[in-house]
Amino acid sequence: MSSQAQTSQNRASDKLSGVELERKANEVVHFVLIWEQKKIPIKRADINKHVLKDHKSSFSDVIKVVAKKLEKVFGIKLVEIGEGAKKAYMLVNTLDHSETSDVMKWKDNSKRGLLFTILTLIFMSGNSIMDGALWHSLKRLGIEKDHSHSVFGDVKKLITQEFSRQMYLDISKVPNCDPPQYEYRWGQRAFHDIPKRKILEFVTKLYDKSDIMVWKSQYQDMIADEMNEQQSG
Amino acid sequence: MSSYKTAHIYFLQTIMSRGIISHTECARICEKFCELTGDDGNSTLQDFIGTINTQLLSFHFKVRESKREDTGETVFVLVSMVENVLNRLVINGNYSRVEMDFFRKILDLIVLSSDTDNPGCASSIDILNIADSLTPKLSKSDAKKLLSRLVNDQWFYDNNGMIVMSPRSILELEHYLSVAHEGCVKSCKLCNLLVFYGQSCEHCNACIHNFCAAQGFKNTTEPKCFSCGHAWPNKYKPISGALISGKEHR
Ligand SMILES: [Zn+2]
Ligand SMILES: [Zn+2]
Repeated sequence: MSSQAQTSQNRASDKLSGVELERKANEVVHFVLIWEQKKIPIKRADINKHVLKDHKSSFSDVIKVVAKKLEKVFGIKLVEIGEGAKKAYMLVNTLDHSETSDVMKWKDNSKRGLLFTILTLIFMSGNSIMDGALWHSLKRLGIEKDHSHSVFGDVKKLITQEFSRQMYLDISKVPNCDPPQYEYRWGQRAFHDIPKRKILEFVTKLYDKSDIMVWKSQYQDMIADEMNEQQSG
Repeated sequence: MSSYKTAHIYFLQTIMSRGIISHTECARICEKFCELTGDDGNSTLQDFIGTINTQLLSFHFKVRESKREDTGETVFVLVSMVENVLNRLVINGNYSRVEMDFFRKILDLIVLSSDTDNPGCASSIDILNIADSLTPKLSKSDAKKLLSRLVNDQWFYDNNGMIVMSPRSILELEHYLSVAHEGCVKSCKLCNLLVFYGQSCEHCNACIHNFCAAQGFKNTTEPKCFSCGHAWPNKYKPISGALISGKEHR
């Protein structure tokens, strides 16, 4: 095979093309899929360090091929987040999984349940909630900030660290507050992973309402989101 | 070979999420996804998985067929064909260095198990006792948590305190094991898969799985070694309930 010759030829420019570009893209696909088990966004720097190495300059060419392959073979969309040096990527499922949870057996199903509950609380409170109000609501479900939970263990850590690191929750400190207060919003992954329509359907059932349109402002919010989604793609 | 469709992607996502799926369940899942997507469900499970593997080839993943050593049940496993899985697990931050050392020591214990009546497995008590010998030390309770995490992640199976390797660790660590324990890694004389948990010939050391022994010695009262013909010592042991349910899955 001439790949060796090609490698040394490319080294002059460090720009990948043809077969080599394809090969590196395949390696990146492998790498991001393994990385995804953590559900933490993968940084551009990680991809460079572990896979591209001498070929950092080809990053944007490679990542385009990677995105295409992930979508075609794995049903996964590569979503870019952040800017400049902090640029990172997360993987978002493109298939409808509303009828597959029995066979998928997502690991951490109970965690997803808790997450869904928190996202619902945030959405129904007008897209943001203060930590006091959040914990107050969770307490009614038997989930307490400072008590270890039988299923979730350290709930505070799960919510404030794991969910936020995975970009499901966006937690920001409210300026000039003593004691400190935090505001909870949907994180970027939540916007991609969890349709607001699902949340409204869930709440509608919960309160025995006939139609999701009874939640006027949330309904409009959802429609606006869905339009955006359609436009972007 | 049939073309790659949405049903295949659903299946691939399922096995990516679950790691190991039994043959029986694979068939059920495959049928379900073909129904859900309206894609052609006429092909056999082997064809269906073959189509997926054709797509996976260039990404160094593969859905491989294997058997659980403890039950003989046929399973499908998604494996990464890139070597050095152990390093990868550390780089990913799934496991810390000391946790990985513990993992490695468990493998040593299982592979080098000198209990000739029960080779290829280790009791959880013996495993937890290794925790002290690690640097830095791992507390007993941390070791216990870690062991159940490894079982949860399907690197091992726990049969009432007897720990055996799962097809996932055998397939993914094949290269590591054959380098680290050269000479101790053998193939079953009957099914040709690697064998750790099984029984061996007193005379030539040939090794076979318990479920292969049950199958191979089914019709004989005087079992002989398939390799050298020497009388087989272990007879074949009464089979656990798990094996019997595993047999239905063939
Ligand atoms: Zn065998
Ligand atoms: Zn023999």
